Amino acid sequence: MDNAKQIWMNKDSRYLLTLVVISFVSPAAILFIYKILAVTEIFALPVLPPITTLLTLVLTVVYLGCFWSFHNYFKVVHKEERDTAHQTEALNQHSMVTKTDLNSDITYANEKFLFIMGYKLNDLVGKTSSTYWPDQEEALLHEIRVTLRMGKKWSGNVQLETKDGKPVHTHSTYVPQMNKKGELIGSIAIRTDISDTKVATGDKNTRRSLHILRDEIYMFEAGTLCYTYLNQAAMKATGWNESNYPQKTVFDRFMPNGENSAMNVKTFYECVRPLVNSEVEEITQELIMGGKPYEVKIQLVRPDVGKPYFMTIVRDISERHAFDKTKDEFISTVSHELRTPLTSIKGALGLVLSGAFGEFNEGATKMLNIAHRNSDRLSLLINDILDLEKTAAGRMEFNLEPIDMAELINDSIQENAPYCKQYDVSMVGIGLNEGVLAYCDRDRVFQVMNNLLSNAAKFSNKGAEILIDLEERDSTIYISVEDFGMGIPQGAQATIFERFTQADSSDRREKGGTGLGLSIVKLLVEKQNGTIDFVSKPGEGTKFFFELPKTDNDVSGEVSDSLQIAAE
Amino acid sequence: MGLKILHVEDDLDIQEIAKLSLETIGGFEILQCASGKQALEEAHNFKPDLFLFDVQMPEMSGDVLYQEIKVMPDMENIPAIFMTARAQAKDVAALKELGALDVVTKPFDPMTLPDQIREILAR
Repeated sequence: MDNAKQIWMNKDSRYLLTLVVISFVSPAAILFIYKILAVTEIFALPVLPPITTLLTLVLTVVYLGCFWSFHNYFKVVHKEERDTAHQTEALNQHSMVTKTDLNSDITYANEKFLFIMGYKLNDLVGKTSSTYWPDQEEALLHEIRVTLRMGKKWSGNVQLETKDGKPVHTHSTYVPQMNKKGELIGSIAIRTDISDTKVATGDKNTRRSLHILRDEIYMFEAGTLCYTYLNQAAMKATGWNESNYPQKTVFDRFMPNGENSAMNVKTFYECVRPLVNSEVEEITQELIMGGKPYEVKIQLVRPDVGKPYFMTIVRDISERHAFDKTKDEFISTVSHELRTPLTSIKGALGLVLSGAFGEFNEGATKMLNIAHRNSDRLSLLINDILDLEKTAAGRMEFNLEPIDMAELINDSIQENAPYCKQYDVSMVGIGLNEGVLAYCDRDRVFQVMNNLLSNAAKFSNKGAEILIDLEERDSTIYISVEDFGMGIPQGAQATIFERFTQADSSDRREKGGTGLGLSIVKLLVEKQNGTIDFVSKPGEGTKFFFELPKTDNDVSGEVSDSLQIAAE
Repeated sequence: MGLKILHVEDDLDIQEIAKLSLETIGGFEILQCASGKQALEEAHNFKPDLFLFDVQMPEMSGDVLYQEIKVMPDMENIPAIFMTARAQAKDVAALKELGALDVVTKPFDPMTLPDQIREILAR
């Protein structure tokens, strides 16, 4: 309906029209009645001239014509009004509607919008429309506002946020609202909630990808432990299909150690307890099945809608194993090949510098010293790279057992005493009480201590002390090594555990070391289920501290041991 | 005369350095061979008190040489020390399993090698 017609439709205009019509047709009516009365001769009325008869007839026809056309017109207008009301209701049922003013403050929100978004009208009116926009969508909101200000409409997908922060996906149309003069006074937004469609499409796409994956994927309900989904690879491995896998449970596929003992619900939940308790996100284990190595990952998925389920991903890792073996051999060979010439270089320089062949002049001695020092560095570097590679790849063996930490620390103090003497630094132990046990690998912790102590000595001032503190905590053993030296500059602190990082690259030459020490230390501590960190103030010193578990509480290890996939 | 050491090492530079270290600094009497085969031939005449074998050698590795040499007459009770650049825990364990007294890692320090050997023997 166009604007002109809309003006006609309003009640005032209609009333006015009626008045005009009535005043127009009244003389005709009076004339008509007068004529009838005159004809009946009940009253003695003077007879009007014949022209009035004609006039009456004309006026009557005009009256009837007007009446008829207005009647029809009002009928249409009423119908259109009713239709508009119906349309508005349908719109309100389907869409989330809001109106905002020129400042983007909310002036109206319909029931549907309030219901989906979890707001009350009072929560919103007068507030900015950013209220229900998630922060990350701010750029889009800005784009829409700019489009509206230019007097254009905007359509597209928009993600909003409910009062409790849940995402709502909508398809939205924003229309600028103008006054009669064509000035912008605000905007109306009409949105369709497409969250369900979005989730369904996403889920469908994910499933399609899962289905063609080379890894075997199994999903089973957390309550019944019945399979709800197997991808192609899993169906091929088990020989099951869509029609019979829903009748199988996890026990038809997963077996405990040894094929004779049966796994029951209790042992299964024992296995996945860390997942159920949200302690870990997934459990990973390597297994040998039919002579081939497999990696098995189990996750617990808790969807927003529907029941929680376990997802198991089984991957053939024989290629990776073969690659690892080759890499191992390569590294071992390289290390040998590098060390052999280094043995000669280091040995020869050492002998020359010992004076076994007489004294050299000052310049030559200086050069020989440089060569000797750098051959030492090269040798350390090779060792460190090998250590790091081995630890990172998980091929370093850790022999975890309860170790008396005071004894270990005392041994490492003794080991580093000559080194500290070089720097004129002394070591002071605090709380080194016997019987404080940590669950760790003695040699590896010794390596960590040696590294931290030699670092502390290197970066201490002459005559200073290094404090070594041992503390027993609730579930961990805490060890710290503190020096009062130059400290780590603020800028270098973030990367201090990264490879080939030293606070100052000139440190490497001056202080010795490869820049790998701390990354090895961090890896070693973490591989023993510990944590390491430091605090440092430039000019005041640095304190490195690490914590090791008191007992063997590595639950995931136990779990993975008891989960084994039945051999085909 | 000092301790008699049969030193087998395929790298001639390392041989040279070890010779200086063991003879000049350590005061040992040494016989050096560049291969296991040569060592097997000369061991009987030299009558060593100690074997000092490199592990990684072409043709015959140090551990194979040790297994062959110790079944020769008069050789079964002679202690052996290995030198290797490949001194990971499992390699060392395997050599000790074979009967080695200990393993010296390369690069070695020629100034302290004699002391290191004496210390191992004294244990």
